[in-house]
Amino acid sequence: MSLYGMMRTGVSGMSAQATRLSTVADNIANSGTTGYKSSKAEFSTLVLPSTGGSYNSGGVTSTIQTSISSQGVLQYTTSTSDLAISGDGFFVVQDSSGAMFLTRAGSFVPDSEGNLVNAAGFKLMGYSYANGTPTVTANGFNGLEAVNVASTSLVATASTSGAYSANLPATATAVAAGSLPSDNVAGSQYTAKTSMVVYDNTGGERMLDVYFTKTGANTREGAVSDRADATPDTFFPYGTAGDPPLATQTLTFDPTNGQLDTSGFTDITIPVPGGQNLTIDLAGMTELSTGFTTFDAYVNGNPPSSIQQVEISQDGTVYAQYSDGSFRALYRIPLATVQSPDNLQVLPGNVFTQSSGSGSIRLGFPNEGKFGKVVSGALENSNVDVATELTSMIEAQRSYTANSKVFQTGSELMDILVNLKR
Amino acid sequence: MSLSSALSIAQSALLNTSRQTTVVSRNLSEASNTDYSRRSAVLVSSDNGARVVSITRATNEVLFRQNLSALSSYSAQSTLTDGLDTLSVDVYGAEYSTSPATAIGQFQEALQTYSANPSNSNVAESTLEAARQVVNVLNAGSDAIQSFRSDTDRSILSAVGELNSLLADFKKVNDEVVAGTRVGRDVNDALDQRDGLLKKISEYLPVSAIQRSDNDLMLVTTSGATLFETVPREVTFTPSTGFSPGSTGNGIYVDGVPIAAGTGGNTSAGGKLSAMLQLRDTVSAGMQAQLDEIARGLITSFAEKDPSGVQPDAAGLFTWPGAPAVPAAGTLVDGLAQMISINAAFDSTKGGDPKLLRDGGANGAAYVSNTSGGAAYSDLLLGYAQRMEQPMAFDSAAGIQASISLSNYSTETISWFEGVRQDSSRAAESKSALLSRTQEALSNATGVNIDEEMTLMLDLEHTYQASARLMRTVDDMLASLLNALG
Repeated sequence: MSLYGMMRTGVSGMSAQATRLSTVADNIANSGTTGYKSSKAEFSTLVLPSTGGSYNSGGVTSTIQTSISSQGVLQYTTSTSDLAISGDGFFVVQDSSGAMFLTRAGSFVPDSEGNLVNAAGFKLMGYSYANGTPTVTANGFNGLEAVNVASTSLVATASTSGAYSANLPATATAVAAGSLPSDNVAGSQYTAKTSMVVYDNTGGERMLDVYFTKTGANTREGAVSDRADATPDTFFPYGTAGDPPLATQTLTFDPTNGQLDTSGFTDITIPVPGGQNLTIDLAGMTELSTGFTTFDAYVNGNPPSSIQQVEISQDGTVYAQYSDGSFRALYRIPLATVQSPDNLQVLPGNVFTQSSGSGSIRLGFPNEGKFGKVVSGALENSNVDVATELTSMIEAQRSYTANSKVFQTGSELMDILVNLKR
Repeated sequence: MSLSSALSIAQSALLNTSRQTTVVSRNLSEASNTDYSRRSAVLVSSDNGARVVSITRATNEVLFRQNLSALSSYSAQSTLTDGLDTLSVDVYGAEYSTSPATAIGQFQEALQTYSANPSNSNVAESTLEAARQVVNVLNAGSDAIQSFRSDTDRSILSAVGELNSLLADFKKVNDEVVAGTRVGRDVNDALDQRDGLLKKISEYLPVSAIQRSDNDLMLVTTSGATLFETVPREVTFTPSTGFSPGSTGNGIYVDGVPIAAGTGGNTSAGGKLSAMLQLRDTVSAGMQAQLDEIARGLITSFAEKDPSGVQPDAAGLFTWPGAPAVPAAGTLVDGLAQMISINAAFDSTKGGDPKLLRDGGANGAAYVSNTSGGAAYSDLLLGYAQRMEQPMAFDSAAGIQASISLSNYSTETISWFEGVRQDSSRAAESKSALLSRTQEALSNATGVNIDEEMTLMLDLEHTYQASARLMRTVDDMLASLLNALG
């Protein structure tokens, strides 16, 4: 119950509102910062002991709270290396000195060394697939390395499996033994012919000629030869006359429905020159009274191809996509979280680090447990709402004015008091 | 939900509308391109307002296939019709003025005049001139057929070259489509290009396209030969250095498998390559065989006979390298029309005597009919005229009935050719109608409809205005808040 006390209470009110205005200023300034989390000042009372008839005014203390766990709006972009987290969790990033931080600012771009670096200069960390499928170290940053997408290696895959289905004309005339493609003599006869491109161990293209020849009622001979050995113009003989083809197989058809008799052979295994054993599934072959018609032809394998682009899936796997369309996992990006994300310590560059109140850092993979998913091609906007900030600013201004009136009133009363004695 | 998120939704609405407008303007600019398929931008809702996820291309597999096959048949039929028109003018002349039938008709008239005036040496000379004309027509016709075959052979070579380069282009575009599809790029332009190339390829060969994973296409001809699978297969053809009657040109091979030539006036051929083979080997060879048969008919009809029946028949006014023997009855001699000539014994320009036609004896005294040497003797001339009207044996391989008189045979050759030509031009009309029908159906299904695009454009304009209005409203709301700050 003193004028001084009341004046000090006014001052504490003014300083609290000034703090609040500072957070508003920061929020508005960073309303367009990717991954920014708004702060706000929370007040609590400071009460002094009072006796019966007199009241000792206390004051107000302010605490800063940052709404780190509140999700910002996702904004879609055209860059696949722009990442956002939809749900809980933080990216683990590293600064130039090697210290690890958490962040939700995912505007990553590859730097000159191929490392993914965000706008504030932090490198994205992940587990490499170099030594097999990675596992997460739940309670530390061990095993993490900077995600690097610069590798320019070429890969080739040899053909190992395929499928071919066609109708072989049932009404064709049978070819006599001795001039079959399998006899490989000049002037060998065949019923139907197709060719396929397959790949050897080094990814080189090999053309295989595939002949289907009617040898008798409901039996067909499949013979495969290497185009490289073919005699110009006539094809037959391949290599030296009389040499057997790469592979031959007898197919038997069921006369009741024209389908391949599945109790016999349904595939053909070809040792590709310079490559692997290629097994072609022929189960879809038919022998009906119509022309030779190919339904489908497929062989796996691909020529040497380079990385076309990098894709990041929702579970955080960084895939390199090769020009042949195949994917290869390079890294897996983990997400980190703490017991109380709102109590993380805020540091410059939209990063957070653990504090005494936040609990210790735990790591896990996206889409697992309580972790959110990684969205590629999107950024997380700040969670600041300008309208809320502006209203909060008006409120703080009015409140500040009122506090200054309290102080002014105290000061005027003191003035009167001092003037009592002349 | 805050004012900020309202703003960002309005912003993404503006972005979507502008992308959709781009698609509409692209559609409008390509409205008259027949290879272009209509695009549409597909919107999908997301947390933060709708988002354009992909631009899709209108397709209709069935109609496209129909269009390809109609294109193949029409291309074959029009090649055949054009070829027949050329052949008609080259061999028979305009209005059949240089046809064997016309020349033989004139020769018959001359022969009749001569038989009425056997003593007139001027008439004898003009009869011989008419005979010379018949030989010329046969020689020239035969040469024209063979040079037409050579021309067609060269056209086949250039067509095969064009087809191979089309296939090479097809590989480039197909690779682009496959790579683009795999990495999720917009491949619509490449797809348009590929469809365009496919249409061009089917003008040469009837193809069926087999769709494989990643938008990859495999092309096989309707006879089953592989034309394209990852890489183009070679289409090979070796041109012949020259053609002679009875010879057959080289075949066209796709991946080592021969292409069959078309048959019939309403041709069974699909694609111009097959039709060209038909023109070169079937139609031309038929015409050549008929000319050869006419030549054989002439040699046989005008063969000199021994009045005493001792000596065998010997080639008379019309002769050939096998003279004095007469070609075997009813058997085609390849190239006879090229070899036939006027017997020098009759030819006054070569020191011969046209009167031998009246008297006989070009092959020696045994063959003289006018033994008395009378100037009014006309029996032999009348005999020749009669023989031309009597049925004789022809080789049925030439495509005309086997027993018919020579003069009728020569007119029958024209009916035969006209029959084929009429069949062909009638079929060309119906195939062209089918082609334009399928094209129309395809264009209705996948082409750009300007009315539709204009309506869509109006809609987009309204959406854009509404989004802009929304932004202004949010702006006004924030402004009033700022005004409250004083």
